[in-house]
Amino acid sequence: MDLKYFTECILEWWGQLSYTVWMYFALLLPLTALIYQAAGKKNRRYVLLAASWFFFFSLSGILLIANILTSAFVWVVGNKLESVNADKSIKRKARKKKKKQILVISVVLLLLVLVIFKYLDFLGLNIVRITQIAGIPFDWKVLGLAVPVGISYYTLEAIAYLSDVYWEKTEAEKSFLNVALFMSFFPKLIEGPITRYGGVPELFAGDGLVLDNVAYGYQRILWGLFKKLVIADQLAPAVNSLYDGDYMDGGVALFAALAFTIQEYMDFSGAIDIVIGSARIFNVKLAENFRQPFFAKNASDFWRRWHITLGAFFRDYIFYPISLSKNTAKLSGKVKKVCGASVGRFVTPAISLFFVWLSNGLWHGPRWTYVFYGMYYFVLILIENIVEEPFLKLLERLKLKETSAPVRVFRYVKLLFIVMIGEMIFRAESLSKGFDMLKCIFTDLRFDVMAENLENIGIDRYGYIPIIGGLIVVMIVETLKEIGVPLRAKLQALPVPVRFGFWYVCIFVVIIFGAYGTGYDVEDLIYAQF
Amino acid sequence: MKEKILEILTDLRPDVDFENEKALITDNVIESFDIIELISRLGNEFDVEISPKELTAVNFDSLDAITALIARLVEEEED
Repeated sequence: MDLKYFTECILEWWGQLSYTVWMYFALLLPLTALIYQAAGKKNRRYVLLAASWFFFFSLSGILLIANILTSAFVWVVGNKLESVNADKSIKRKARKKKKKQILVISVVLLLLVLVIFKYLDFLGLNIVRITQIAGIPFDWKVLGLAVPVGISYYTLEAIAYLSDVYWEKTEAEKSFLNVALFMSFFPKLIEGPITRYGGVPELFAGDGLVLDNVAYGYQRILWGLFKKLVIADQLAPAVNSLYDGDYMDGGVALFAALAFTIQEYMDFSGAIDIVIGSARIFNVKLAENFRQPFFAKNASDFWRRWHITLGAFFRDYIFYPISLSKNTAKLSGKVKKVCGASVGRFVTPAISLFFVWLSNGLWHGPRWTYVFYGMYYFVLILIENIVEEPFLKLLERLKLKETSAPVRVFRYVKLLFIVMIGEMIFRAESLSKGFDMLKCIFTDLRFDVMAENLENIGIDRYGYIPIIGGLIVVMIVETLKEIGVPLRAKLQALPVPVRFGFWYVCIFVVIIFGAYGTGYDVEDLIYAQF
Repeated sequence: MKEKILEILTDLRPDVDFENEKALITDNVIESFDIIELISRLGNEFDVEISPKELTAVNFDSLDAITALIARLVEEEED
């Protein structure tokens, strides 16, 4: 083969590096695993760090420096915080004050870097809008800065780590290379899950490959590829054409809301399966990010099952600190005095929730649709918590049990509607377009023209077969998991030929029905852009 | 102290069997809204300050764990 052509091919493939391309799971991952195994216990973490930096460099080039500098900063500050913790010559109160100063300045600096890379143009352009209204001359040249891959994830991990050292929940890491590996570990770099430093001791242990972990890893990767390639990516062209289009009737808008909800869940949870599987090959147990979210009983419960590690980050590092701060307690006490305890008890969670959901919206990126998405859940979750008690009393009056079928159906339909509307605004090209879609669901819901309108969205009649078939499989698996059936253990207990037969069938299903190759573009991971 | 804490807990969530439940946080039996209300009531009752540092499953998973936490914090306040 012509060497030049071969090199060009490799570079072209390399340009598309992501978790769902064969080059990742069939080349980079096994090659790293081989070198990792050969390197011996002492050197294995260096192999992982080299692979992670190589992965980072392949995706973001020289911006790798931003990640390394952040790691160095976090390493230095973590050790500084610990030295203050240990310095008993300073009185407790003075020590606490000093630590707090260090933590606040560090968190501000970490956020500043994130803002510069991700939000500067958004801020600039919105200041232009405000100054235009006020008649003040101000101009902003769009910078269009390239963003280091995974910055939204590793910045939160850095904040969590420093806060944990501050609270003495975790010890500061003495080794810079360990911090650097934690901040760049390639399986979790692009999409999370947002990992706590204390949660991954295996990352630094350097233990050799374990057959069961490697098998689990690749089985999990296969399951992720199934969700991503057979369902999410098959739906992607339709979702793109629906949201890019101008006209829409209510039926199509409803379909668009449902289609994107499915696409996003299969895309993100599929990617997380690949991530968790990849890490497990190196014995690292990353936190689960999804737990059957569509079995939730309400929006709060949904968020304890969907993007779990992001919700847990906001709970531990925003919700609790704000809720437990003296200023919030003072304000809450005043409101309790004026309005009574029944109203007052919602003041503290309302203030904290507001900041949680504002941060959640903004974390997804510099767009007003995301800010709205955050505020949408802020309002809904607050209302849910306020009306939960009266709702339960109403059920008692009606002599209905919480677990009865009508109540469960009502809750499920309500949740599905809430999630779909949220996702529709989230995905919309702009807020006004999202509102138009929402409006036409209520004013122009005609199912008679729906079939006709859905003909030209990029999926033919046969295209729905793998999507619907795939969804049925996922629904069965999720139901079994929800009721506690240990699926993998049951599979492992099967006779070897049946077990291997099963996995071969799965591989062929992904190869035959997956959306890749000629006629398909490699679909970016949705959560990689956040 | 334990009886008083049990009284506060039962008042907050009458549906939970606090005497036998050993994974209040781990199994999401009590949630973030309950936790901050609980902390506020415990703080007022025993005159202690519970910081985010103490918010771990180890300290809040059971009635005994919560009692041990409050006892420790009361002792620290007295120091």
